[in-house]
Order: sequence, then C-alpha cells, then structure tokens
Amino acid sequence: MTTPALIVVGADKGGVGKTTLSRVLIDYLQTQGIAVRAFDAEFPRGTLKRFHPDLTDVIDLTQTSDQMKILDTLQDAGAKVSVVDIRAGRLGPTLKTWDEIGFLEAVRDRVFTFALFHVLGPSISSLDEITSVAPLVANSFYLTVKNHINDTTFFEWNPTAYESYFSGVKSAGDISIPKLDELAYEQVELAAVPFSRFVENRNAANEPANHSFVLRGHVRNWMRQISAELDRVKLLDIVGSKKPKKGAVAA
Amino acid sequence: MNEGTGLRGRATFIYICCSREARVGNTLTARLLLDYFLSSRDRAIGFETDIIHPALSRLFPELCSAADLSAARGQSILFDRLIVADGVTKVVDLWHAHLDLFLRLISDFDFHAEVVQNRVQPILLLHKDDRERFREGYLALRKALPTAHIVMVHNRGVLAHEVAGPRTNAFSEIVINSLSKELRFALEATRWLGFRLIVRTPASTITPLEVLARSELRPIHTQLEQLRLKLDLVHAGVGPSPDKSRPARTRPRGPGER
Repeated sequence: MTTPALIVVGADKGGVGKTTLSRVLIDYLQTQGIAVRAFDAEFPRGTLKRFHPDLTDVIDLTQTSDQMKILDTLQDAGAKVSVVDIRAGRLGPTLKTWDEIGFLEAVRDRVFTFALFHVLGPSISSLDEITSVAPLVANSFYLTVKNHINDTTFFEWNPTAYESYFSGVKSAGDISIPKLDELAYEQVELAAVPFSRFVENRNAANEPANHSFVLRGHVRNWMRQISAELDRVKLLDIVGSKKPKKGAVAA
Repeated sequence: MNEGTGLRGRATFIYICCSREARVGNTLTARLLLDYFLSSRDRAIGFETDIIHPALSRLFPELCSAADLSAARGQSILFDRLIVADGVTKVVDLWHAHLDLFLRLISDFDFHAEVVQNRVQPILLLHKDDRERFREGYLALRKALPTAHIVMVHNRGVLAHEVAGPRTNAFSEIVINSLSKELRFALEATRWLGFRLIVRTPASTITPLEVLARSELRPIHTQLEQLRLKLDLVHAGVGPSPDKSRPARTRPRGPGER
C-alpha cells in the first residue's frame, strides 16, 4: 500500500489565492487519475466546496473532531491524496497543533507524506510568513507559491530584498502561478464548476454548457502553465511517495 | 448567405483579411467583401481589430464590431462569434499590428481544432507586399491554420509592380486594380454599395460614379464570384481542391447528388 498524502494549501495572509490553488491542485491530480478528497476550512461557509461539492467537506480546524476527520482517516479514506484548504490566519496554529499531536513526527517516519503549498502574495507581510512557517515543516515537502494575482514581481527587482526572503529557505521548490484574466476568473466563479469542467464546456451538472470559447481558452492556457509548474516540482513523485528525485527534495 | 443554391450552407466561411505590413489594402479588401455579400443579399457580418481607427464599424455599426484583441473582452467579441457555424459569413479586417497576437491567440485557444470540429472554414486573404516578411507571414499562417484556404491578394493601387512572392499552394489569387479616387472615397467614407450596380438591373439613368463603379468593380466582382463558387464546389465535394494540402472531398455524396 502506498503512503497516503496530505497536501495543505495555506497562508496566514488572506486574499493570496489559497482556494484558487486548491482548486487547481484537485483538477491536476484528478486529471492524472489520482483519487482525491478535499477539506475546506472556510468554516462554516465553505468556498472550495462550491466548486468541488462531491469530494469536499467543510471543517472547522479549531475543533478536535474536525482535525480527526482529516488525520485519522488518511489511511483508509479511499483517496490517495487529501487536499486541505486552510483559511487565512490558521496555518501557523494548525501546524503547531499537528506537531503537538505527533502528526509531523509520523511524517518524519514516512507514515504519511505531507506537502505544504505556502501561498505568498506580493507583500512584505506575506513574505514574512516564510521565516515562521518553514521551520515547522522541516521534514515535509515545503513549496512556496508565488501567486501573481497582479503585475507585481515579489521584489525580484531588488536582489537584496528578494534573497533575504527566499535564499535561506530549504524547500522542495517554488512555483509561480500566472495571473488569470479577470473576466475568465469571474466566469468560472459564476459557473461554480471546477476549472477543468469549465474548459470542457460543461456545467455543474456535467451537462454541455455555453461558456465562452475565448474564456475557456484563457483558463486552459493558464492551467497548462500551472501544470507545467507542478510537473517541474514533480508533484506526482511527491504524492506517490517515491524516493524524491533531483528538484523535489524534502527539506 | 446560404439562401439560393443548395450548395451553400454546408460550411460557414470566415474571410480573414491580413497582412504583415501596413497600407497594403487590407481594409479595402474587407470593405469590398462586405459590399459583395451585402449586395448579394447574403447574411454577413464584419469585425475589425484596429480600435484606434475603426473603418468598418464606423460605416456599418449594425453589422460590424471593433474588437480589441489585447483584452479578453475584445477577443471574446471576435473569436466567440467566429467559431459558430451559423451560416453567417464573417469578414475580419485584421490589423497588421495584430497579426502576431492573432497567431498566438489561435494557438492558445486551440482555434484550429474548434473550427474544424464546427465545420467553419477560414479563408485567409493574405495581402502581398514587397518585403521579405511576406513569406514569413505566409508560413506562419499556414502553420497556425493548416486547413485554412489561403488567398493571395495583390492590390495594384498600393503595389503597382509584380511581386514574385513565395512559392505557395494558395487556394486562389485576387488582383485588385487601382481604383479611381472618387470610387475609393465612396467605399471608404460612405455606406454606398458598389457591387449592387453589378448584381442588379441598372436604372435608366446612372451617375458618373456608377459608371466608374461598373468598369472598375466588375473585375473584382468576377473574382469574388469565382472564389465563392470555388469554395462552394470544394466544400460540397464536387470540385477538385487546388490546395494540395487538403483533400478535395470533405464528405461523401448524398442521395441524388451528382
């Protein structure tokens, strides 16, 4: 039996695109034929569940019972990968709790595979999170995600500032999420379907839809770029618990 | 379009007037095509991508749209309509500065696969110029839309001499002779339909402009008629395809067809 994998998408700062990345990850893994389940920590409303209702549970990560829903069922949930979309402000506290209850130790012992996608926005407060979060996941796959929600550059124009945030971090890689055209993003929001289903021109009931050809093209092209990034960091190797290869090394 | 002969209506045609260089007659060709379809009482609409100096949408606002290809909304105005097999002929005046962007977008959007699936037939009217980049333009278009018909357009009003051009297996070639100043003004600045004089019975008295139109537009009308007939025949599967990259027959003959 392969090691079950838990992927957490989080950031303490809000509005950096955590749910968007979670949606893309679910699409990517399902496209690869991997059974996925998801947890939406935007309790009680839920955002991820709107797009992936069949495989998503809305949970409250401050409740022990909901923590158990994720961790105690990893082995026998039937899904190879569990994706958790953590709400803003809960990443640090959740990782600390998981450390205390021994989950991160189990990860170290290879009982589980754990990958954290730390989504960063182009702001100092967002980049400051790296120094506090990275040490908590020292034995996991830690991936930083530069989400280009606008045209900013994560201070790449200033090598000193850039290096101060990224050079000291031991990570399994960093990925860049390009900006998706606003009109296309809004149309997928309105359609309330996974990105892949929007591209296939289908509605929430999986029936033929009438989505714009151009906007489908924008979403398809955007997803291709993200898939290339996920291929580059060898996400499939990570969740498959294969021995990490060059470019996907546990920190 | 698609009223009249039984041959029409099997594919929806989109005519894309394009060039690598400015001032080679792109807009005039688009204007003439619209004139031709409207004069023939065909259903046709137009698009243009130069939103700074719109020409077609200024003259025919009810039929033509200006689409800014640099933004998703403009892309949607153009491409979302081009892929629809509704039997309405579309004429696109593609601004020369947008040719590379257009090629990138059709690649990003998998436009070619969509039009093939929907039985929409692009016809690329590539305007000749005397620069080396003309050959690049031809090859880029051929690669991006391999099943499109490429029609070479030589506008003698802007390029008086013969152009050797690349060796191509173009579907057809259209020569537009230099038009008189009065006729050009009427075409560029008014909604006047010059080809109407050719397809309709003339009134007992005609104006000097109409005399000019008859003599200067008739050769163009003949070429456009020949192009459309050729398209109809090829797409009905009853004529040889001069474009060697495409099979002549696109569907089996139906009962009663010869």
